[in-house]
Amino acid sequence: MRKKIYVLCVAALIGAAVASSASFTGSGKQPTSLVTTASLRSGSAVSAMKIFRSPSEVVTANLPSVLPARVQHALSDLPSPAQGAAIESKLRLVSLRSSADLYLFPTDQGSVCFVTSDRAGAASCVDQFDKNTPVGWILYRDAAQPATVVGVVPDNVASVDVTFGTEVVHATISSGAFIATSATTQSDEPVTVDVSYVDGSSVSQNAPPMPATPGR
Amino acid sequence: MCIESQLGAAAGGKDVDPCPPPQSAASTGVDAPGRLLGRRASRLVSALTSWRVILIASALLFIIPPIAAYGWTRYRYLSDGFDFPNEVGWTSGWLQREYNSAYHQTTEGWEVRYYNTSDQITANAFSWSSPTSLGATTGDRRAWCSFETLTGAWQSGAANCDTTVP
Repeated sequence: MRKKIYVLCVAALIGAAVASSASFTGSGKQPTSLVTTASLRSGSAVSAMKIFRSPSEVVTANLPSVLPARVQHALSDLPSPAQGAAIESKLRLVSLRSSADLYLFPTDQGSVCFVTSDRAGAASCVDQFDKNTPVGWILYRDAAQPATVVGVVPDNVASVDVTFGTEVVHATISSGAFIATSATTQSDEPVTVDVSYVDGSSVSQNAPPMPATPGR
Repeated sequence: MCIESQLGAAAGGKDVDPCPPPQSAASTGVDAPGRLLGRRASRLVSALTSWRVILIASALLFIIPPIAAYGWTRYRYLSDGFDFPNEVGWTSGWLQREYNSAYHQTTEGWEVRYYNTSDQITANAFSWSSPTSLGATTGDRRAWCSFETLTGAWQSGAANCDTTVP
């Protein structure tokens, strides 16, 4: 009888251990990695952002002891297989505003991924910065907040201006991340992201009109 | 039932009464139905502690916690290709979602949306970079994704859209 109870306890403990691991890594589709950036492809996004070179070079917010579920899911599931596995040890938290800070992390293939801390949990990844991708950004809306553009910038970007319809918002840039929120836009209007480099050049990207929420 | 030979052997050949008179209910404190229940309970305990049951219980204890911890699985609702504007992807039903992500080429802009059961958009996101992704919903939602064109031109390409199901 004692042996049987022992078998039951061992099974329960192993199951609990697997469950604990699973709850931290989400679906566990892709293993995390501690690979250094030495093997990254040239011109990768991570090499253009000093925030990942050394923690002492930039000031970032302290990571919470328990990461939000969305961030855990992003670490395990967000990058595509081609973009590689998240490097959890280089996860950064940049304070942009109280309602939407930005988590940033590189992958072992040199991509940089970002995810907002707000309810929308908008997220994306950038493989490399170039003229077609001057900054990595995502435009999002939900019923609780107006249109917002958030993303990551390489070190050679001086400023980002976002135009929501006719409203121009000068983005707040901090530690390689930026955010611009419309004060008034709830309507179906196009959005333009204008990026200015430190050398004086500039480039623009557009987003098509998206329906405001709620409604169709 | 009393079997004399067995009782005699069990007693080591000592001179004992092989078939003592049955004790009355008053002397044992247990009535006849109570003894029956006691035997059944004993058999039940014996059955529950058999190795077969122990192994099944162990397997369940091993499997259930991870399932409970995950709570959801990844589900691909648009796979491999699209032919805009003929094809956009959406889920057939409304469920709690952990995320909704469109994986695409970075030369294409993609939008993801959530719809509530009234078919109203509750959140949407657009990006040129891949993936274009939204986080968890606060209720049951239909996940939706589509290529977005700035020019209205038709276009085909490769993309996948993933969400979660409980």
